[in-house]
Amino acid sequence: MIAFTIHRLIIMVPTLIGISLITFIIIQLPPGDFLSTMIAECEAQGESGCMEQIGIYRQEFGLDRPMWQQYVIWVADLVQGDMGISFEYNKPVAEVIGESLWLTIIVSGATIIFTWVVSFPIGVYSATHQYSWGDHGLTFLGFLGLATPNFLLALVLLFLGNVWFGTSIGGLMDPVYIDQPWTWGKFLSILEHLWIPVVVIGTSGTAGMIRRLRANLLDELHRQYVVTAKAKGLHPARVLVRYPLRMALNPFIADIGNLLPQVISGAVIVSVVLSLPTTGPILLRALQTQDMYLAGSFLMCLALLTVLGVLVSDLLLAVLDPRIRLGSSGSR
Amino acid sequence: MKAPGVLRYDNRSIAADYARAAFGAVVCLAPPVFMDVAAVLAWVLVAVGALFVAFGLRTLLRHLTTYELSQDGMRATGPLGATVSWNGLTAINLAYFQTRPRRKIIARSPGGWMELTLREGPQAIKIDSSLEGFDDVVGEAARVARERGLTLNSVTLANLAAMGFAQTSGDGEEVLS
Repeated sequence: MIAFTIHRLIIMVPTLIGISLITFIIIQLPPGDFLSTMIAECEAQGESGCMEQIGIYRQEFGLDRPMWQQYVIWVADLVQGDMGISFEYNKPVAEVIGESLWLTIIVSGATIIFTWVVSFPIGVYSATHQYSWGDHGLTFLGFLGLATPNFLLALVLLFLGNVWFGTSIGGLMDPVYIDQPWTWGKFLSILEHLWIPVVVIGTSGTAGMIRRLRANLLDELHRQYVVTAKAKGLHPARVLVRYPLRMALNPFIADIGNLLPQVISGAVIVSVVLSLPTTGPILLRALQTQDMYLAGSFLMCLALLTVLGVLVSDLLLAVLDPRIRLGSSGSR
Repeated sequence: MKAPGVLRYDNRSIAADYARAAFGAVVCLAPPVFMDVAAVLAWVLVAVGALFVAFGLRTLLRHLTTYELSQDGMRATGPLGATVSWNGLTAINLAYFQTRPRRKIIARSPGGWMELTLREGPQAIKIDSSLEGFDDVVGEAARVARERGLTLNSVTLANLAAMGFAQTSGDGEEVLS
């Protein structure tokens, strides 16, 4: 296993270098930069003081240097854990992301748990009770979940939450707790607001997971060894848990690669609609304003988490099912 | 079965593993040593670097170990020394580690490698497909497993089938051939 881990880790190095290069190029592609916008605003307002600030920025961050030098400086800082300064907020990137990262992790973590807790039993039930009324009903609900746009569901649940439970519209806590230190009351307020984004973000993922789990489990349940095990009188639950269910876990594990980046990307559109203080809207704003260090560091974090997620899922799959999968036919 | 002989890991694969260990150790350990790296990141890099160092040591142990396949069993001599006799064989496990997406894969293709574990009680020998004569060892282990009626897990059977030592029956299940 250590050799496999080492192989996968080594593949990560060129992957991350490639991603950093693409990220940097994409961020630089639009004409102008954040400082160009600042200059235009300065000229419009007739201020002279901010031009000095712009000059300092340009020199400090090497924005007057060739692009490849800017890239090298950016990567060297990233390797040291320095994500740079956000031009718009005039603060270190780590500070800008700050608390919103924790709130994003809470929302995303709850969403992942919701997705797995709901989809796993439903998927198993649908597969073991194929074409029953329960299966048809749950399949219908699943398709409904897949087809409903998240932002629409968000608006509906916001309205219902406010009318039925008196939950304040938008945000992840009551306004009185915003920018306040963590207290028990703040935590309870977050819990009170949490269910709406969790249901909204988790619904489509849950529906998709149910479909995949059902299909995988059905494939396994129709295999000859399951029929043989049943014919030999093994208890159905034991037959199910012993092997088919284990094989059906593969999509859950393979999905880890997608889950980790979601933890910090925080479903941007839903976050904007629900006014969630998560990292998604910050990323969107950074991309709109060409706040290059904030956007770049953010995208690199997402890439790193994606690569790490794929690594974790590959390692788990290698432990659970180290089986050869032939592209066409195998030969010695 | 071929005549008994001494088997070693081929030099190219050993050299490649040394290179991987060195590359990984340098990439991970150089920043915390020579640069001013944030504490959390430094710990992560040191931990991953330690993994590469461990891999380098494991490669060294494999380099110094030789294997002997005979009609009586398999014997490893050196730092990873152990003996498994065919008469006492209790389990075999054949795993495949895939490093690339699905493709036409065979044991020595660059897309991954096989790993065979032979057990006799607490004694175990673990070899992978970069060992010279790996196919002979697998073939012999499969023959003994069939003769002794050992129960093999489905993953091992599928991998044996891919190497031609098991067949896929009409109902889609693999059986030793």
